[in-house]
Amino acid sequence: MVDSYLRERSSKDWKKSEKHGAAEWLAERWTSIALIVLTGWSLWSAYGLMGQGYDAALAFLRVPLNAGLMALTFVITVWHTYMGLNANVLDYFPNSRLIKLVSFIFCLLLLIAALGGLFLAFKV
Amino acid sequence: MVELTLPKRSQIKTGKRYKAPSGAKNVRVYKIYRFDPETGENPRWDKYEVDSKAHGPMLLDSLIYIKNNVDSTLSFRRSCREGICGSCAMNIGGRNTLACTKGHDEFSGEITIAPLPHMPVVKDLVPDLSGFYAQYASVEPYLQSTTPDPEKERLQTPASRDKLDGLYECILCACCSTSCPSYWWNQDKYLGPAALLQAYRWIADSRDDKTKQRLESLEDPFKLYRCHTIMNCAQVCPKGLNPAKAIAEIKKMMPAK
Repeated sequence: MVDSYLRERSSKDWKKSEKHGAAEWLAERWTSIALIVLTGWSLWSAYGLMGQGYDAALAFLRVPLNAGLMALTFVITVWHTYMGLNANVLDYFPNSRLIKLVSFIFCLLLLIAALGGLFLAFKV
Repeated sequence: MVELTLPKRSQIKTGKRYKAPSGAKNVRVYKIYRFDPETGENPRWDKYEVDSKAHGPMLLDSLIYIKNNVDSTLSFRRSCREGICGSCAMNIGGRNTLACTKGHDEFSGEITIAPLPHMPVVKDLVPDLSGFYAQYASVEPYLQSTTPDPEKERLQTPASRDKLDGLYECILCACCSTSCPSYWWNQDKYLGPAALLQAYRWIADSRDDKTKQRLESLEDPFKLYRCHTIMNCAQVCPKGLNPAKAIAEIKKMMPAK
């Protein structure tokens, strides 16, 4: 029994390369670096707006640079979250298509909510 | 893939206790994992009381003493007794190490000895390492050069040779790979620290001409990128190597290939 078990293990073919992974790894690093800067900027801006009321916040968001950076913060946060979630799925449930789909839909909803919030802020 | 339930017949039961002979001084208790797949029984923890003055200072001496004098059915691998063959790698006191280089006086109280974790067990402390060796073979751990063979040896500068230090010393004991949670969950797809350290040993070798092909064969979400720098590999390596650093070097080289 042991011999046949060992033979079976020894003869299995090893996984062929999927020829991707480096771009995802780089994207994880670049989005991390971008988020350090953008999160710092977001916190600094929020600190500056503290106690100045709703109108001041709206005026802040009407400046194209601020709105652009805020949108970028949302998009990169969701992208980074998606990559992190995907890494967890590959670690623990690499063969589950259902969990992969659920994590993708979760991040898609997160992105829609973030951009929807920004859009509503502009409309108001 | 992560397993949330224990496989059938894997629950470890309490086994026998072998008492020390009367008059024994300096008695140490060894709690050892016992399993024989051919009996159809669950694994068990057997306890052996041994007079530590009756054998040498290392844990391998204790195991050999138990096998020769107390219980000859105990199975374990051993060969060189000096930390160079890697045969006696096992989990001692909760950490993977070599029984031949670990002294029993480094532990207090009962000493727990189990096979390398998350590997199929052939018997007692003998794990099935055939998958581990297949991974090692898959990185093609030999020189591949496109230049004709020279009359004498292939020369290297001292600086190029220095790059191999900390890589070539690996003895393939599997302590690192079997301590890695990523390897536990995905050892059918992730190469693991030992095989990746060896892959980098040939990537870093100035005499090898297949660097690009070697990197291409490793570019895979599972084969390489399941390493999350947990660093258990560097912590347990009995030779003091750092596989996580070698993996990081491969990752850094990958986008530039």
